[in-house]
Amino acid sequence: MPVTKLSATYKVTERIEESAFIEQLIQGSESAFRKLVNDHKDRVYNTCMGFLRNPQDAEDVSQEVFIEVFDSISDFREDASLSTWVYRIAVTKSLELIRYRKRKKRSGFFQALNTMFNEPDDNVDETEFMHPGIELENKERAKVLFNEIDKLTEKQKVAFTLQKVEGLSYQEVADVMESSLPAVESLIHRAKENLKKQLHSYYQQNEID
Amino acid sequence: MKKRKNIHEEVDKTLRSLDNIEPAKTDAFFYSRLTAKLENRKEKGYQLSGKTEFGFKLAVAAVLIMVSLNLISLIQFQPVTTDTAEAEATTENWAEEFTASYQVLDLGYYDNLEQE
Repeated sequence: MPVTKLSATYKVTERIEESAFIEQLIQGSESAFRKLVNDHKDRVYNTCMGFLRNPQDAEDVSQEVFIEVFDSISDFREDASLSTWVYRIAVTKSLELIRYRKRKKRSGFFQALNTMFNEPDDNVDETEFMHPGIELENKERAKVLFNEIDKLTEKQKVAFTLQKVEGLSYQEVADVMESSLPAVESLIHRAKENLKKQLHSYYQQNEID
Repeated sequence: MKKRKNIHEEVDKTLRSLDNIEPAKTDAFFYSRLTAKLENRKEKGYQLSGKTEFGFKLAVAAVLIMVSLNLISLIQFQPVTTDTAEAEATTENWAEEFTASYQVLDLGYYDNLEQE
């Protein structure tokens, strides 16, 4: 049997197995849900961490992702793989929290009022956070890079983070972002170019020895 | 020149700083925390749905009371409506009564005066 035919058969079998698994999830099988969580929790957490740079936020959002999956699995149309769908939810939820935080920062007056009457916000400062998976010798540089990634446009940020931090292939990034492969290639290229420029001016301002 | 080269090198190193990044991992109790959150949410959902049901009943009762009050006031204070002919007749009667009381519409007044 030729290799291409074999891989196509394998894909079909995989698809059928996934459909059966989704059916179990729809029926509310606890073992299926546990399997889904255990299979995806680390990747979801890592994705959230890449965007949010805060272990507590990443944990909360990861939980929200699986709750969303639990709630809306019956709406899943299977036009993408289950893991892509889960990733998509993780990205959307992380971006939602970032947008919410930005709005909160903008409304400084109301925030001041809020802290006056409530407990102060105990979020970790993103600039001080360091991803746990970064080698010690790269920590300072990675901190600078993460700060510059934040200045990119949302799409460039998503594409770059998914590819660089999460290690997804360009095709996987395209699937998660519901975009075409050339569009993702262009986004990541532009993100790299912009980062180069930004880092250049950063190091010019903060002179290095 | 040297400074420029240094900046270039530093930019390249910074861009490569995420190259061998190890993925961050959750701990072993993630699933337990997740199921606890789901359970907690279910309980809250039940409590909330009870409250919502009561609120809905209250709102329906308030709307019914308002509608019935409106109906009562409409029936009670309905303005008296008359048709056009009736209205005209009433106006004529009123004019006759008015002129009779002042006796100004005596058409033979001057004839009577000349004869006298």
